[in-house]
Amino acid sequence: MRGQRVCGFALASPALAHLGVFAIWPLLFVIYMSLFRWPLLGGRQAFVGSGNFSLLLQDGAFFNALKNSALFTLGTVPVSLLLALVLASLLVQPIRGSGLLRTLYFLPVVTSTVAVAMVFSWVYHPEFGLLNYSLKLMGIDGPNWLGDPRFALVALMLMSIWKGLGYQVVIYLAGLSAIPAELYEVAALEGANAWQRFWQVTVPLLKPTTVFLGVTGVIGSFQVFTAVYTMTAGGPLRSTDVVVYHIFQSAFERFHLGYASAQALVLFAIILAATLLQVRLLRKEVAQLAG
Amino acid sequence: MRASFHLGRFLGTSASYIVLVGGAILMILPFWWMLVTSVKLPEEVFVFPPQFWPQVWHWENYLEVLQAAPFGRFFINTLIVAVVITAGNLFLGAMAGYAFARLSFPGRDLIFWLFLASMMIPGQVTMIPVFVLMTKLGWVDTYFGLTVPGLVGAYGIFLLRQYFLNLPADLENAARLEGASEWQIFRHIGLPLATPALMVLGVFTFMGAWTDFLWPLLMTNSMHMRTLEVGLSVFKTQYTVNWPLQMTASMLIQLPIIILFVFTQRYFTRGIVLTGMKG
Amino acid sequence: MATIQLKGLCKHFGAVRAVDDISLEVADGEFMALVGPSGCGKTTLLRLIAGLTELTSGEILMDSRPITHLPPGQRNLAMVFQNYALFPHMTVERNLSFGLRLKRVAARERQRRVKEIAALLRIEGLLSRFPRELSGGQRQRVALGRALMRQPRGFLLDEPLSNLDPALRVEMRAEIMRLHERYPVTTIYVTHDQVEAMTMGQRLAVLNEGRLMQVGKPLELYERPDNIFTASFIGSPSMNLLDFELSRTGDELTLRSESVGELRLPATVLDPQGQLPVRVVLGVRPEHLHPVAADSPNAFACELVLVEQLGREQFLHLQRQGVSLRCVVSNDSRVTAGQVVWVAPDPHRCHLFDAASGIRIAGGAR
Repeated sequence: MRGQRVCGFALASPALAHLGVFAIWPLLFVIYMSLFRWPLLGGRQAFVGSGNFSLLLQDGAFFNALKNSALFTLGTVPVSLLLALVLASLLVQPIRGSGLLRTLYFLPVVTSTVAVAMVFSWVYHPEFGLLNYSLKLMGIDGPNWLGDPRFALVALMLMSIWKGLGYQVVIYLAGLSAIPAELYEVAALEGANAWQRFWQVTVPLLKPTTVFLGVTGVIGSFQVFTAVYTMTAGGPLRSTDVVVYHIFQSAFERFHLGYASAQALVLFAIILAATLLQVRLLRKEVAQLAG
Repeated sequence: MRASFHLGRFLGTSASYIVLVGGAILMILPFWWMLVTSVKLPEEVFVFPPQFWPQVWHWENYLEVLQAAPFGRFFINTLIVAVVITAGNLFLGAMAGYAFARLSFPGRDLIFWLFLASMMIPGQVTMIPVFVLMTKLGWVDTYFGLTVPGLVGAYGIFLLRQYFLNLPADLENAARLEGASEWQIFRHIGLPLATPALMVLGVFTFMGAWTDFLWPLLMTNSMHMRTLEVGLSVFKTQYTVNWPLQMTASMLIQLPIIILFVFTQRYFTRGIVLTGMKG
Repeated sequence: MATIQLKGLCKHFGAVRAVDDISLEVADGEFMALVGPSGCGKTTLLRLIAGLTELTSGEILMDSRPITHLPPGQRNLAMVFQNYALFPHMTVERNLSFGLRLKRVAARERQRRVKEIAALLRIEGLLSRFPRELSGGQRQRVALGRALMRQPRGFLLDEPLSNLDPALRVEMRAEIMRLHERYPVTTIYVTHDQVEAMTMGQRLAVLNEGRLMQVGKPLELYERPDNIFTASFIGSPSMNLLDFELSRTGDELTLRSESVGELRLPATVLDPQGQLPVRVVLGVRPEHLHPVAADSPNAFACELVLVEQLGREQFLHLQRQGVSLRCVVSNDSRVTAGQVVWVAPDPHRCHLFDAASGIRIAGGAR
């Protein structure tokens, strides 16, 4: 038994050390930094206590970023999940080519976000882009997607849905496959049609999957950065300024590390709340796993 | 049999196909667009209606891009970073996951909870202090700065622990009776048996590290050290007007990842059950 | 080979006493069967001996030398697990040679041993296969082979046959006994099947709820069970147990109960020890309860509820005043269900137990 103790510590210690240095210490240090005025490029740090936070409370730009992130989340997560569920339900059939289709849907997930952002910049071009071309074919005059403050965020949302759909489809597929066929058979015998079976059997049994995808989706959408950086730089008129981008600019373009740290803590609080919500909603499953 | 109870039945097979294939086309279209634009000349891009099949395929664009920026260097950097991060995650993650799953030592469960809790800390929150730390250590613009912060992740440890928990306990007991030390049991029994999980974790980690943007953006400021993602972003700012070349560069940096994906796709679509389902 | 001694072994899981003060000695080269119902602690005891579970108190000695605190790898014991625990990612050959490879035994010596063991267990043709490609019986033999490879001084087997189908089980039983004859290694064999224990063990140790009920040769346990548990656990079908009130008058013991009535048994045959309790349990095996004429001594009438035809004999299920009894008769008996049958116990084959403590007070063959 002693051998286990020694070996256990030895095996776990590298990861533990890494955790201490790159997860625990930074969290504590961010809290520390948020109490200071901390310039990035040298210079003195000045203690301001809760000064950064009171500034935040009055910072319209920051609230704008929060609002944009919230809108972004609301716009992407539900739509994405619904689409993914429908697609997965269709894809779970033993039709020919389902493996190939599955791969094709997953392709956007693994590709470079920068490259994708670049091609979508072109797709969204008001005169020569694919999207407005297709709309024109249907008789609609498409807007200046990335240049119009009313539509820029929507454009980013569409791209985000496109990129993340495959992952959600595959997870739903796994969840669907886990539902025993007998349940459907019983429902069919009781007279339920396909639509009813979908709502009475499939959807409720997919609840853990949906919660998981929902919460990870929310967490992910609050962390959007690359697309904004590449396509819109937060504009036009700050309409696509999201939280992480805002933090990035605060820290690395305006060099206010202390202030950025305070913002980061707000982000942390939001994400923490979302994660704890997931833990709460999936209480049973979590207990099974942690034990 | 089971599938016939699903929405598919509601829609009918042909309608299902239409929807699915239609969706797949939408997924692929931007890549196709990237490809055909990458071989056009700048003038050919601003035409209406857009050209889906170029008359002339200007493959020389690729040569031009390769000479315009050190993509070869970017590739090597990205490769090194991705390999190191993947190796770290796999080995250190397997070691920790095995320890948490199969060995008993004081404080084990508490420490594991600490790891679980750390999964809730997003990278964007820790990036500022870690950046400061990297600056102090002089690791900015080095491979150390690019790899060490991501060397092992709680997610991988969590996954591997799950996997190890499902191995039959008597296997290690049999090995113990044969005189194996705990380390030998890990090396000869635990690790080999974890191969399926390691493969899946490996491809995901590799892909993630390859396409990471924010951290390499912060960590590199010389052309010498940039990764493909960051290099592409810089390239874009230099060639803003030349759409085709931007697309060419995009295609170029995606080629390795797409090839890798084609060969390992089953680990993503099937192996994802290991990673995603239980969160 | 070595003697294995257990002294006061205890293993507590919180309030549960999985192993409760067990002391046992296994002689050098002896085949000791550990038997008992599910949950009696026999597997836990085995794992304590192997060193896989840490004991709460007690000592384990091998050849009079304590091994209590030695790690499993240094106890020179081998174990065959219920699920064989073959390493799935290694071939049969590597499974067998695992221990020797760890000790860095030279390749030539290793291969010689592998060939020898493979020949002994008749698995030569399987050396390059993987466990998943083998049948249950083949995996069993590989597990046995792996245990033999290191020439251990003690052999621990944890219900190795319980995952095999009945026909295979009988075959493997013979195989294991053949092995033991060839290599008489001190063996502790755990099983919940008392038939298996009786046929294989040179001695049996009966366990119940973590405690040792009785140790002895199979026939001893059959003919002279020390307590009610052992009496009912050993022997199939199990012993009939009836409650009575006991009184002694000179040479005679009188047993009285409401259901059966009165039985008179000679005190000399039963030879009771010590002070006689009033409440006793009479034990008589089905094979020692005989149908007799209605006027025979100690006969009492029962209703025949069911006849189980077994080919070479019949089991009669009898009922009297709410008490169920069984008896075994030859297959030329022609009784049918519903009939009234008069039975009487063989006085030379009765056992008397104290109803309160369960301990034997009289009876059993000498």
